[in-house]
Amino acid sequence: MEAAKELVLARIHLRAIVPLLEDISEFDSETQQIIKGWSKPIQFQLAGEDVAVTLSFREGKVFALRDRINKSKITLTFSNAETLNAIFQGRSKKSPRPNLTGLFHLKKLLQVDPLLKRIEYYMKPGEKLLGDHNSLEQCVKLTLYAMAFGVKEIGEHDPEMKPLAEHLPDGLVEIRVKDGPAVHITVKKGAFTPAKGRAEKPSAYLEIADMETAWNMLQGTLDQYAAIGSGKIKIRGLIPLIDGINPILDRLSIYMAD
Amino acid sequence: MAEAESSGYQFVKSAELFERASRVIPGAIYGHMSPTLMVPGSYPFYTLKAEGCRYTDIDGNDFIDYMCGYGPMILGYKHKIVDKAAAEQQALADTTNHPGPIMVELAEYMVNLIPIADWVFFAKNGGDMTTYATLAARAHTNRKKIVTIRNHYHGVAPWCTGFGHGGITAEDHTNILKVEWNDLEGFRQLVKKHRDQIAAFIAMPYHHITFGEQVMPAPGYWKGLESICRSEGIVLILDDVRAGFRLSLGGSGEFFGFEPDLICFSKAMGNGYPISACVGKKALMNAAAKVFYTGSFWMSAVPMAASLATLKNLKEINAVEKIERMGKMLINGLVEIGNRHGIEISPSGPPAIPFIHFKEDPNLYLNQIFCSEVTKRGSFFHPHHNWFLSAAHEEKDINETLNHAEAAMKTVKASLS
Repeated sequence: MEAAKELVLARIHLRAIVPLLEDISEFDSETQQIIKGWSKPIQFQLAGEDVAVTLSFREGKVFALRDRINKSKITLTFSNAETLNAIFQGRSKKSPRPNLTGLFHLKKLLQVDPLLKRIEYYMKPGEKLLGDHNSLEQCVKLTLYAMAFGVKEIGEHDPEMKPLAEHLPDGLVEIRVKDGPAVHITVKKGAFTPAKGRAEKPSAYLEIADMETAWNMLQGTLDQYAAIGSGKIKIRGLIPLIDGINPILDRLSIYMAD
Repeated sequence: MAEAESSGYQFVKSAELFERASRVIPGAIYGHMSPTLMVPGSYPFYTLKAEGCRYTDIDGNDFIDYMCGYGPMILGYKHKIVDKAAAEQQALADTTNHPGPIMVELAEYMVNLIPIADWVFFAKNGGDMTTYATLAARAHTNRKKIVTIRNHYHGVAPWCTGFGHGGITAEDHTNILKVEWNDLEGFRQLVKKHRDQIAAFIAMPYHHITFGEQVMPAPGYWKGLESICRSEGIVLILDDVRAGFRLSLGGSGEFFGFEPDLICFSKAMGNGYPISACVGKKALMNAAAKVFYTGSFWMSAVPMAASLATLKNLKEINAVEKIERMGKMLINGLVEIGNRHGIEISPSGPPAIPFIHFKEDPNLYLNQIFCSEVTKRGSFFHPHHNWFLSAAHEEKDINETLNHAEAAMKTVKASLS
């Protein structure tokens, strides 16, 4: 993968994937067990780039800030985008480099890898998880969130998608599962502001009829055109906004394929 | 915006066949007829039969047609004169080792009909011709770059399909430059920046984009473009595939008062028979001959016979005037219905190829509700694409449609409350 795309993927990992721990900590007992008693923030950052995410821990829950904080006690630095991606994709046994203060928290550092593995558990679920409706809904929700925040990184930073994003109509698109999770993305002059949940007045919306269809769509295994024709996916409003975001979603699937 | 419940046509068989199709055809119905561009559930997917300005879907629902097959139907489906000419040619020969004499007859007729035309090149689809025109322009000028208007549709070849669609690479657009519609100064600056590199400027006669209001050329726009192209040696290509023969039989350049070097036609020229043409000025004929461009069915004689009969009949019955009259009646009627319900409708485009928007509904939610409600009552209105009138539409058809629109407007009104 060329350097510019490695950097985009690194951004996706740090700013769209790692923050999912915020949601996972809401319901996943193993995550709650790992972070029990944690109070000091952990900052993940990429050396030489303005890309970071900081996880804070309060009352047994994770809070994610897609940025640096001034007084981070524990900072884990990835030497470059390629290494970061290899670590996140399980292709490398290397670890990010802790700062001096971080070395005093070795026990905690050893738990970072199992913590991150909880994301993979839900993002790449086994048959058992997918077979249970509630678990499937959690997987769909997390993937939907990752998608919304991943779209921002691709639309604003992928060298091929950025020019396309700059010509998208301004507006607010909502993507939702009927009676289920939702995300919305505000697009303005090629900049993306994603958020969780429903929007008040979307310019366009894409509604997926059920969790199975949503999961297949998010995995890129659904014929979306046929799904729209059959009513499994409903699109209304400013369709060019949805159409315009679609290639960015496709590109996200390619980034996340490994 | 809430979608009010309404009664109307059901599309059970369409949905069933679509489901079958989705197992063996990518997207089930692809391209411009894909249901993704409409409001699935409120529209038919498959046609059973058609005659005049009406057709019947496979559920047995009848529609007065305001898309005309997305433009090709201009005299009416199953038009006796056109079909007779086609049948007579079919009885002789269609696709053989050579073109039929009808090819020369049709070319001669078009050269006489269209003021700028000194020669004609035939193919099947509009996109065949827009690509051919750019190749001919490059061959003529020995330059690489093509200027297009942002969001104008010239077919599905990689050079004119937006990056982001499957299979299109950024490199496919290496030599494509874009300007905004009606931005004469922008074009002037582009030409200055790329002096002696631009082979052609290609545009539709007016801004008729899907999902958007149609915008007519600003006063002096086309004349200004023509003047710059002449002085800079740039070939001026008119993509008249969609509007051709509905505004003027001499091409839309005649309608808007300018002279293109090349004009691309398709859609209406064969009243549904598959044929397209590029006509051009004599100065480009030699370069046009040097472009190697062909297809297995491009010399087929039957569509040529149908096209000749279509063009002759359009002239004979003064179809352009009638189509405009029917379009005006429809649009004026819709605006009046809107006014009665306190809902402002904004029509755009020429009456023969009209479209409507609802004021203060930039996201087209009301278009989607209104057009699907009219369609479910028996008049096919596309919610996002300009409509087409034909010479087969009569006043009684328009009146019937306005009745459908009156009922549909109540649903629009309910959705606003």
